[in-house]
Amino acid sequence: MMTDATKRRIKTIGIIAAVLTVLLLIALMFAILGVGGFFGRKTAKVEVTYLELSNLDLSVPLIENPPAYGSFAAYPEKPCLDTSIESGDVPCVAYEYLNEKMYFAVATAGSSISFDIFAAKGESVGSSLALGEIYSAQIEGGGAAIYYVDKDGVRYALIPFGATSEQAVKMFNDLFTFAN
Amino acid sequence: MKENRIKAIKITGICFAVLAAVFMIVIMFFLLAFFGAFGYDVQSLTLSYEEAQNVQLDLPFVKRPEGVFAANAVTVYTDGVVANSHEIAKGNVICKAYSWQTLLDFFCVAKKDGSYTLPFNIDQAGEKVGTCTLGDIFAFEENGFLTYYAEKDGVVYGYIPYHRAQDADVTHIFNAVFAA
Repeated sequence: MMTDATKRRIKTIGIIAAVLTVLLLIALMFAILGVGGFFGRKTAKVEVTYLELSNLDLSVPLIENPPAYGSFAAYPEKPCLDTSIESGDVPCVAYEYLNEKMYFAVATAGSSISFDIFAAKGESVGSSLALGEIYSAQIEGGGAAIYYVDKDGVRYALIPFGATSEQAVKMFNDLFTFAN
Repeated sequence: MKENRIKAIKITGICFAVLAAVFMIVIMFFLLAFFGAFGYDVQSLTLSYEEAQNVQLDLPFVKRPEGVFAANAVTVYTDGVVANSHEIAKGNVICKAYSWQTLLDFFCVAKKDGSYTLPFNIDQAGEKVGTCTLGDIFAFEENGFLTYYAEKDGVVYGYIPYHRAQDADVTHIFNAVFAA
């Protein structure tokens, strides 16, 4: 026969084991959520729709008329948690867009977007109502050109695929319009 | 309580504890596998340039190009075999081709005798269109994509202009990318 003290000890051990198991399960759950990205992942860019882009803390102007489909990539100044970017807690210093017809970006110097739009130095090919003189330069290797405007420390760049200079200037004007 | 009953409870408790522990361990391994800790079965693997240095390549690895020809990642291809991604990254699997792409271009380097599956066919006879440091450059068109290639020592150096018009300076691009 067990004594009362032994019974009490078994009971205590049982309770402690149960509590520890519950704690372990909770820890495991958080670990799974963490690995699964629920608490965010450190990233240098986030893929967003235009609507999501408009809800971010952008330190560059947002275009008013985006292309009909496709997604944007937004870049914070330094890599940080994607959840902080998406909730607008971290300012984004650049965004870019790519589809089969064009690539364009609005970025402040030093931002690490996927294409070095700041290397271009070109000649004036027209003017944009919203931004001023548009410059164009051939990209190394030829066969593609970049069109850009620098304004208030921000570069607005467009690389149209297979468009003539006139078409590119029109695309530039249609694309880079702003609400205010 | 009767001795037998206490013993039964004890045995049941121990069994449950052991089963719970085993279950937790299984779940942990399952989660590790799910999130890729043990690798994936692949025929091609995308790695950073630094990681790609460790891959066992049966062909020359060109120096990372500069400027507009650079990409952040390179994809390596096995010789048609399905292998574990970790084994490929560690250099335990022979790879016979690799490729990378930029905003405007697709580049690949492939051993002629391999059975890899590149995203583009580079295995057609073309017409000579120029010369670079590797030798003659040939070109052929397939599915609307113009493919350029040069051959040296049983290795094909391929280039597909994704988004360059056809007057791209192919010789300059080959020399800038593959000569280093």
